[in-house]
Amino acid sequence: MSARRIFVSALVLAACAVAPVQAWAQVNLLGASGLGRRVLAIDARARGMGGPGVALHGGNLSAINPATAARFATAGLWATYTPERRDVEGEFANGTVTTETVSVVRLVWPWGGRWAVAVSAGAFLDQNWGVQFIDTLRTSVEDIAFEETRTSDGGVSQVRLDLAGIATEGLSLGASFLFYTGQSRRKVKRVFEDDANFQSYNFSRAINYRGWGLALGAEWEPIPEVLVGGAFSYGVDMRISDDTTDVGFSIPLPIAVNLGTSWQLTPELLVAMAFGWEGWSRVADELANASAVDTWGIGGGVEYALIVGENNRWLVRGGAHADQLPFEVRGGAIWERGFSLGAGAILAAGRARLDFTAEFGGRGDKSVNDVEESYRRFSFGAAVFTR
Amino acid sequence: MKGRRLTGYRAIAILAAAGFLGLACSKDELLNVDPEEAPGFVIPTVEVVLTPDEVEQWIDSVFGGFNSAASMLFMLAEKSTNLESQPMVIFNAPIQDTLFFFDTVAAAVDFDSLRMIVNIDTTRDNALASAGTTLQLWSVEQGWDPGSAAWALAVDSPGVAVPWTAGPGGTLGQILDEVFLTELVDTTGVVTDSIVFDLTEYTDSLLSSWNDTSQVNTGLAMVIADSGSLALQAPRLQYLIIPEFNPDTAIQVRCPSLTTILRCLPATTYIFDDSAQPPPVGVLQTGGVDGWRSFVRVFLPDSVVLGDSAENYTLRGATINKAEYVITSLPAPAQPFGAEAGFDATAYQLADNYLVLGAKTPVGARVAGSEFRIQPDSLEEGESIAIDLTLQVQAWADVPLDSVTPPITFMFRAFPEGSTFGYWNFGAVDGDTAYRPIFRIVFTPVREFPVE
Repeated sequence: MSARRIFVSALVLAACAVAPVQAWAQVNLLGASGLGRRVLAIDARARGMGGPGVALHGGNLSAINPATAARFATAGLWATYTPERRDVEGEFANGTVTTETVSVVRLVWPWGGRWAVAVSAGAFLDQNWGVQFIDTLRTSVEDIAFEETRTSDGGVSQVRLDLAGIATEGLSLGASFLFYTGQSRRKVKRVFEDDANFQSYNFSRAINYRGWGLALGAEWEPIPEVLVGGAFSYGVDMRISDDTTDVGFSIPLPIAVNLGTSWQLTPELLVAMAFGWEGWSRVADELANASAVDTWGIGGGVEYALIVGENNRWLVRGGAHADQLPFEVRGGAIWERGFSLGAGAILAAGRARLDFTAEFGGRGDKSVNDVEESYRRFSFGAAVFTR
Repeated sequence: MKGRRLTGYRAIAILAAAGFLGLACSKDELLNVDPEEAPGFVIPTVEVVLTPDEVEQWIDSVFGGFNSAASMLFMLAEKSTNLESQPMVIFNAPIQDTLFFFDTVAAAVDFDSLRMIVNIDTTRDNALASAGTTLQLWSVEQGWDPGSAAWALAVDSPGVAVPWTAGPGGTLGQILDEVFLTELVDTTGVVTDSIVFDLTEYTDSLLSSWNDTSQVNTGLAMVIADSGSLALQAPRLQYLIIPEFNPDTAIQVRCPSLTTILRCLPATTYIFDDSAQPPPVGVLQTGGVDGWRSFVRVFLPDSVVLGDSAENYTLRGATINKAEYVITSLPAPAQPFGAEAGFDATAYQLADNYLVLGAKTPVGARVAGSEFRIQPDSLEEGESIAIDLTLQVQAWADVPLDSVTPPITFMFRAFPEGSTFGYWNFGAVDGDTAYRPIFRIVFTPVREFPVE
């Protein structure tokens, strides 16, 4: 595939990645508090191993550590599409919903043997949710039943521009400019029972998000079998404003630290893990009706090359993770825990790659949050590289 | 190799297409939640009940004279202790006296078998005396004006008042025919809905005189000889014509004609021995033979404070879920003008300030959804009727805040206006406080956008 074709495809996919979080009708009750649900820019392969996207042998396709771009010898483009089904159960909410997200789209363009630039886009904060309920309006003459739906469509996307280079043999460094953009449209619709002949109430207003930040990353290969990586990001600020009046305010974005390692135990077996911390509590200080915690996350897993051919490799993966979500529900932090199983194929002597991962897990704890959800998440990834 | 390179590229294209398809097929699914726990904006729908004391200007007035007996949908024939009422009719020329036969016009050689048929309006209250009721058809001996004739006057138009020469009740000539009604429903349960007066004896004289435009057409009158009450529809004539092109044949024609070639239309009215008076102060009056209309002008406040809460709720800009003008029934009006049968009423917009133009204020469109029914047999004193003004109040609420605050102005009346002889009374703003109108508005106020 020519570099030009990859570049054009990248533009198309980047548009897909930025638009979905604004337009797709997705639902996540746990994501209804604060700024929504944090979405990590992890590709299908890393998800299959429990999410270690900081440092990974064999081509790291996640957009967490900018230094990883320096390890690509050829230009490449990839994307991960993630549908998810959630079964929500709790004291105040029940139902099943499905969501779809483009987790990450990334284009890497190496040059000069030492340098690489990368552009990536993906979801950052998912604010897609919708609820409905039936209630009664009590007036001086009658009680009138009404059905109300409240929805939020959209969220915040993250666009990254990475510059990475090989500092010394085995050590690569990278820096990113982070641009946050998005819109969330809030709607309320109240429909009264037909007999009452009441006019319905409709409310629709949009919130705009604009912000920026910086990220630094490093990846070190002390021995060929081991990779160690770290990434630090700092969201300088994000402005939240009314789409109509432009009235709004600014909040700081969290500092995030991610560390990870990858160990090629045998030519067929790879072990990787990562953990991260994000300082969301300082964000919540600026929000009127939300409480948040600094979040921790850990994940790890293995990848095994089941079939190794002349030009192909067929891989299976397994992993587990535990990630905290930033915004609390009912005064309690929400943990997401899950395990994953995946498969992948490296085709055409490394010029194409396909990955699939199935994850099963849960979020929240009914005893703490009064609501919990079980989820099944699938990730489909595809990548192409120049020769 | 080229094929392999394209395979990878196509895989990406398919993935992108699948992403778009996923977007297009994505369902808008909703979680069922408890109302108290629902996330998102909480924007309450609230109710405010405004009384005249709480509003800067709230005025109402009653005007009549928008209707007369001549424009009623029925004619009232009645003789009772309360009222004496006589339907009257003039069959105006041209009365059909020729026939069209292909392309020729044939004159009538003779007329025969004239009858006048009157249908009883069975949708209204009709009552016969227990011993039966006799309805007589009289000739009238004096010219009269169908648009203004009254019990005492044959003509009562501005500047012209001509009394009946024979005194109140009309200058009647002779009885042409009479019908004795014993019951309105026969033994088989069929409603008696038509009365036929046989005028065969007067066929030539009546038709000729009505067709002679050089003579004053003095018409006919229907009189209940004993007692009873009948609501009658406009009468029609039916008679035979013997055409000159075929003298052995009689062809039946009627007035009003079934064709439009010769347009014979009866002019009808009824005269009665009483007249309704304008309502006293503090009373809104609706319906009646005079077409009483109630006019209202209210300046609603831009915002209201509800109950004991100190919170100010803005009405302007709000979504008006329901707005009702609630009127309260007064005791039934005295007979004979108190409505006995139910009738419909509705509200209309006013195109100008009625305080300046009075009864001549131009009336606009009907207020959609404002229809209501006044049902005297179930409407008790103190009972309320709500007139739905939601759309009108919403239009008021949508006026920009930097514009001059317009009043809510409307008028309500019987619909159709000539559908009821009697009227009904409701409390007015300056009347008894127990019967005064109120404005009940259920609305969802505008709230500051909660970017938080």
